Amino acid sequence: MTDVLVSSPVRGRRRLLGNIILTACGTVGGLTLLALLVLVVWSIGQGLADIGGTLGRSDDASDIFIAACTNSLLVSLLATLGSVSLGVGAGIYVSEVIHSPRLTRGIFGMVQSLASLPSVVFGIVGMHMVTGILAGVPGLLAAALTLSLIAIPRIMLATRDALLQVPDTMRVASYALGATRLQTVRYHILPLAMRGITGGVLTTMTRNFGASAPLVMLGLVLRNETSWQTLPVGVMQAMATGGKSAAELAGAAVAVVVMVHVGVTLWATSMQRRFQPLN
Amino acid sequence: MAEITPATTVLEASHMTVHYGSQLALRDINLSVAENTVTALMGPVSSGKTTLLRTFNRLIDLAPGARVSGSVLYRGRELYAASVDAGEVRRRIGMVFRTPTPFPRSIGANVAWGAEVNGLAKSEDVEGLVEKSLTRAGLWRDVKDRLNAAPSVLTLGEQQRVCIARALAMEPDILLLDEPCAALDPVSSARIEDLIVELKETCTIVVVAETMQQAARVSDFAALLLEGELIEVADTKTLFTRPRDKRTEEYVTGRFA
Repeated sequence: MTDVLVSSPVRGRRRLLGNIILTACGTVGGLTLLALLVLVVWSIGQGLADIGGTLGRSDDASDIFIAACTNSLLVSLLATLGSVSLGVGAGIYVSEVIHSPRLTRGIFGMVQSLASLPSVVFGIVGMHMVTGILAGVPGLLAAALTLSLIAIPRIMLATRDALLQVPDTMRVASYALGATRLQTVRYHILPLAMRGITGGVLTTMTRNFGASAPLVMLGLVLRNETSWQTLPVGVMQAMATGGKSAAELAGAAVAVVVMVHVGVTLWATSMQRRFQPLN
Repeated sequence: MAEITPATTVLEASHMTVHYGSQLALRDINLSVAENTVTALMGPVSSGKTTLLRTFNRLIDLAPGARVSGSVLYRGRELYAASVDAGEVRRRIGMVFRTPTPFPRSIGANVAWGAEVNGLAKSEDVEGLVEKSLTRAGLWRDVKDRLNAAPSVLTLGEQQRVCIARALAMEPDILLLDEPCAALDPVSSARIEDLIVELKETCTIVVVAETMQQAARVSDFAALLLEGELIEVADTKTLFTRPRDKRTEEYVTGRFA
């Protein structure tokens, strides 16, 4: 009797092909992770020395660096505050409150295209605002406003995606108990969507901290002010003007941006764990 | 007063038609539900049973493009009148779904939630309310030490009874059950069926039955729906033994294609 349970040649070839593909995917994934790690470790390691060097200098490089750090922090905090409250609110409204699926789809279609616009375009919008309706507004606020404009559509999309993960049975069960729309969102939908929303907020925060293109555009009209000069802008300027301290300043700035990114990521991960609802 | 007699009609649909957009879901439904009885809705998949159930507590309002015409009276009041608040309707006409739908909070908080958001329970009464509702749902002894745990520690059957307790906590006048045992094993199903018969003492029940056997076991009245039409409604024994309509006879004898 022939043994029917023995692997056939066709099955063997399939398995080999499967193994090759899996190995390739694994290698690419591993290499990417490794590259990222090297990048983070190298930029911080290299940059720590640069930070020391920059701060130790007697010329104005040290002042520029400290000012840029403060500016970055303030601008990104302001921008995050504005964009998160408006973006999450608008995302919830469009996803949960508008009763017409067609309208919701239409709005998110537009938001999607806004979110994928290159940030330079928003920079131009910001530039025109600063010269037009917002003339006289401090550079810091103008920068935060411009970054908020970029972030709001992205946060709206992140909010929508998180809300889509909440099963519809949860909404229906809540309404069936006589709850209002607001109670349903507040008590059942938001707790379940919180993880996803914090993810979106985190990306925005770190992006705001490292944003450069739109602020460089702003800088074209805000020459007399320096409060919009965040770390990435500082790097660009330092590299453009050259000089002995430029490379060191750039290294220091990049290190701070990377460290903030890593720090915020770690903090947000622990926050997300706290938002894990009972289920 | 007339309300004390068992024959009081609590729900009455007359010439009720439901559309989803341009699609007809229910056509010219005429159905009365008597107080303190169990009415079972039967019919094949997509015959309109769930839609009919959802018109009774206005949950149909949530479906985009749903339109209800005709009339649905709840104790003589038109449910679809412009002045009627759907939330008020739903707190009097509770509903339990096909699969358990516990909220992401503790067992105790789940049970109390509906009563709390509707302002029916003061915070000092909540514990008593939770105990009373879980007792009525036959679950108090099993979960009284685990009220702060997540519902996921319970079996599906127990979760479903948490959902029933949650509906009972609002002291509903009518309880709508949409295939409440669909996701459960036979033992849990039997316990829920016993519960349905017990609950009849205090509220009126309309249940979408998964099987004809279940309808026969739990209901006083049974209705057959086919493709959005109410074919026949009668007391359960009559419907199963001497159906008037040929289609009902075919359905209950299993000759339905």
